[in-house]
Amino acid sequence: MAPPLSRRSFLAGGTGAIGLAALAACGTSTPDSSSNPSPSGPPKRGGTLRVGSIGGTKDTLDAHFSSTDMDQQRSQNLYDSLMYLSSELPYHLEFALAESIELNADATVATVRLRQGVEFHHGKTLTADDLIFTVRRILNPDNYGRAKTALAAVNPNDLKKIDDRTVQFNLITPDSMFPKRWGSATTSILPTDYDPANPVGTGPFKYKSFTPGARSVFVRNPNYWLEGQPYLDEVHIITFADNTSRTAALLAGQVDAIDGVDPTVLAQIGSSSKFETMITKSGFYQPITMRVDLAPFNDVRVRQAFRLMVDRPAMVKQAYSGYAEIANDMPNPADPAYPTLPQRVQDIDQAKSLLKAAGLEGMTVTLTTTPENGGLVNSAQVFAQQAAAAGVTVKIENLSPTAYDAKFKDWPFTNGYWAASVIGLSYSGRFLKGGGANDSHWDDPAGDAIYRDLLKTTDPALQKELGGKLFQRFYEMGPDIVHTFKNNLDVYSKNLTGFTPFNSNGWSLGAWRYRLVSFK
Amino acid sequence: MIKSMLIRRLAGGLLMLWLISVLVFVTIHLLPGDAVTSLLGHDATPEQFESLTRQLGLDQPLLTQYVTWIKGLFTGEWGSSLVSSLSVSDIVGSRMENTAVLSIMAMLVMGPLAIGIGTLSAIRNGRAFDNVNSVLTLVLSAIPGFAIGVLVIYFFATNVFHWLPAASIIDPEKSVWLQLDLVVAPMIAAVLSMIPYPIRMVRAAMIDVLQSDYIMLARLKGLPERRVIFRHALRNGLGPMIQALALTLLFLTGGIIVVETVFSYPGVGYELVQAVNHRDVPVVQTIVVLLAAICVVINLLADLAVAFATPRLRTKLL
Repeated sequence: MAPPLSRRSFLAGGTGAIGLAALAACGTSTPDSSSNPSPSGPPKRGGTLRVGSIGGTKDTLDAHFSSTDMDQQRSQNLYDSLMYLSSELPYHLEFALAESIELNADATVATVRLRQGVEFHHGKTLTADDLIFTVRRILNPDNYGRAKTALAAVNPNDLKKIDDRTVQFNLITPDSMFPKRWGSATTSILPTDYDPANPVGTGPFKYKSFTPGARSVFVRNPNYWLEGQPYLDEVHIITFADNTSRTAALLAGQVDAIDGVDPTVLAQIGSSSKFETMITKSGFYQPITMRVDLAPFNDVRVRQAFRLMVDRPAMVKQAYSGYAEIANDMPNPADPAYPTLPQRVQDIDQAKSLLKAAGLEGMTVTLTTTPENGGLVNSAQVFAQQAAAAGVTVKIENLSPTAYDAKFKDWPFTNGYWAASVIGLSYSGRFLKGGGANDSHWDDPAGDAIYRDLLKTTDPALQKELGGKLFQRFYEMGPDIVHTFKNNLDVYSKNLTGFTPFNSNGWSLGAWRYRLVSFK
Repeated sequence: MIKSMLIRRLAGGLLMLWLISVLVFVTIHLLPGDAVTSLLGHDATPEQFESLTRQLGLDQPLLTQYVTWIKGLFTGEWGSSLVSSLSVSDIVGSRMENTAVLSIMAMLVMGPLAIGIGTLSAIRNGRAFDNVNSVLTLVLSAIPGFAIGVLVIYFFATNVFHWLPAASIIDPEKSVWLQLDLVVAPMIAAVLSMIPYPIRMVRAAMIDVLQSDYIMLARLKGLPERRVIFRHALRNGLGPMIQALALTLLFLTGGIIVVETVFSYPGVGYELVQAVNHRDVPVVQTIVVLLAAICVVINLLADLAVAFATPRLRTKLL
C-alpha cells in the first residue's frame, strides 16, 4: 500500500491558538531539556537506533517538500525550524532556532530574533540571511514549498533584515498565529548555500546516506545547539513495503522501533516482554464529512440527524479496537478555546424525526472511503451499520489512495483524517471559503469573520473567546461527524528510553525526536 | 534457417514491446490521479498544483511525453522518476539486480530439485513416494504465495527457529552479493510457491518417456536401470523439462512480487507497484518494457534450447 499522504504536514505548518504571552512565558526555557524522562541518571551515550516505517520511493530529504510521515520523521532529525511544537498539552510551541518572535498589537508586523551561535552541519553560523533565504525558497512561485499555505500572510519581498540575527516581517494580512506557523518541518531553516544533494541543517543528526524507498542513515551532530543532545551515535530509518514484514523485522530484532502500528499488531507482539507499547492520545481525528453545498447535506437537519445516528462508544470498540476517545463533533480538543458542551449521544428517534422533517426518511447515500489511514474503512463500515438503525442505507465505496485523492474535494459524503491542531491554524485550510483542504465546501461568512478577528488579536483571552465561538458553530451545524479521536500506537524495544507520547498533535514515536532517545 | 527464424522472432518481439509500451502509457493515464496528486495530497492550493505540474513536465501534451520517453529509451537517457530524486536507471538498475539475484538463486535450487523429485515420482509412479509428492505439491499450490512467505518467516525467523532474518532489508549502500543472507528466506518462499508446477511437468514428461518403445527396448536389451533413466529417459525428456523450467522462470519474473512484498525485498516487482500507486509514469513504463523484453528473450532462448535438445528439430534448424 502507498504510504499515507500526510495532511498532517499542512496542519502542523498551520499551527494553534495560544497567545504571545504564553509564548513569552516559555520563551526562556530550552525545549525538552528538563523533561527528559530518564529515572535512572543521565541518558547513556552511543548506539544505533533502527526505526522501521511504512513508506515508498516517494521520499525526499528536502524539508520544504516533505509530504509523507517518513519525510517529516527525517526532517525532524536533520533540521530545526524557528519553533518546536511541544509534546505536552495544552497545545503550545517552544522556541527552537528563534530566541524571540514579537508581534505588534494588530498582528501585522512580526520581528524574529534568532538564537545566537547556532551552527549548520557544515560549520556555517545561522544568520538572518538564512531565514530570509528559507522564506523565499518556500514561497518561490516556480516551485512552492509545502508550507506555502501556512505562510500565506508572509510577503517574501517585504522582509527587512534589522541586524545579523533579526528579521522583520511586514505581513500582507494580520496573522496572530504567525509564531505557531513555524512548528513544522516544512518550515525548516536552511542555509543560503543549501544543496539538496548534500542536505545540511541545524538538527541533532547529520546526513550520511539516503536511498528513497530503502533507508536513511544519519549520524550524531556533535555541535548541536542543545547542550548534551543527542545521545545516539546513529539513526537508521528503514522503509518497509508492508506491515507484516515490518512487524516480523521487529520480532526478529532487525529494527528497534516501529511507528503508527495497527491494533492487530499488538496481538501479534502479544505478551512479549521485549517490547514497550506507547499510546498517544491526541485530537487526531477521522471525521465523516458531508458536503454542505449539495443535497441532502445542505440541510442542517440532515447533518444533525446523521450526527445523532452514531453510537460513539461502539465506534471506539468496533472500529478502533478500543484505541480511541469519544469526540463531540468538534476538532482540536487540545485547543485552549475548546468548549465544554453537552456530549452528543446516539438518539435514533430524534434522528428519524429530523430526517422525516426534511422529507428524507429511508434515504440512501454513498460513503466514499480509502485505506489511506488505518481505521478509515473500519469506521465507515461501522457507521453504515449504525445508520441502518435509523432506516438510512449507507453504501461504502472504497477507493485506492491515489484514486481517492485525485477527486478529494468532489466526494459528497466521505471520511478523511486530520492531525490535531488548534482552530486558529486549522480553520484556513479546512473551513475557510476556498481553503485548500475544504472538502466539505464549508461556506460560513459569519464564521469567517470571527476567524479574521482571531487573526487580528494578540490577546489570549480574546483569542479564546473567538475560538470558542467557532467551535460552537461546528457543534451546532458543522460539516463533520467527529465521532472519535484516534489513538496512535508505537512499539519499541525495552532497551530504549526517551520516547514520550506526542499528545499535542498525535504524531508517532514522540514525534520522531530521536535527540531525546537513548539506550538503557 | 536459424538466422531467419531469429530475425523473425526478434522483430516480432520488438513490435510486441512497442505495443506494450503504448498500452501501458494509455492505461496509466486512464487511472484517476497523477504524480502531482500523489505528491501534494489534497491540502495544496491550485498554484502549488500548477507549479509542480510545470516542474515535472506534465503540462506537455501526452504525445510529446511519450515520444520523449521512447527516444530516451533508445539513447540510454531514461529520465528521472516523477516522485523521487533518483533517475529511472538508478532505480530500475538496482532493483533489477536484486530481483535477478533472487530469481537466479531460486532457479538454481528449484531446477535440480524439480527434475529430481519429478523423475523419482515418475519412476515410482503410483507408489508411496509418488502419492506423498502428489499430495504435497497439491497442498503447496493451493496455498497463496503470501501465506507461504508468512509461514517461512514464522518457521525460520521469528517464532519456531531464529535462523534467518525476517525482513530482507538490503542495505542499498552495499552490493546485494555481500548480503546473501537476506536473500535466503525469500528464495525459500519463492521455491516453495513455484515448485509444484515444474515438478508436475517433469513427472508427466518422464512418465510419457518411460512408457515409450525405446525405453522398453533399452530395458529388454538388459541395460541397467540407472543407465536407462539417465542415458535414455532423461535425455529424451529434456525438451519438455526445459519448457517447464522456462515457464516457471516467466512466472517467477512476474509472480515474485508477492514474495518481495512479504519480505520487503527491494525488487523490481515491489518497485512497480509503488510506481503505479504514485503514477510515476517513466518508472512504470521502463519496468514493464524491461520485464516484457526479458520474457521475450527467455521464450526465445527456451525455444532454441528445446530445439538443440531435440535431434529432430535440431537437424531441421541447422
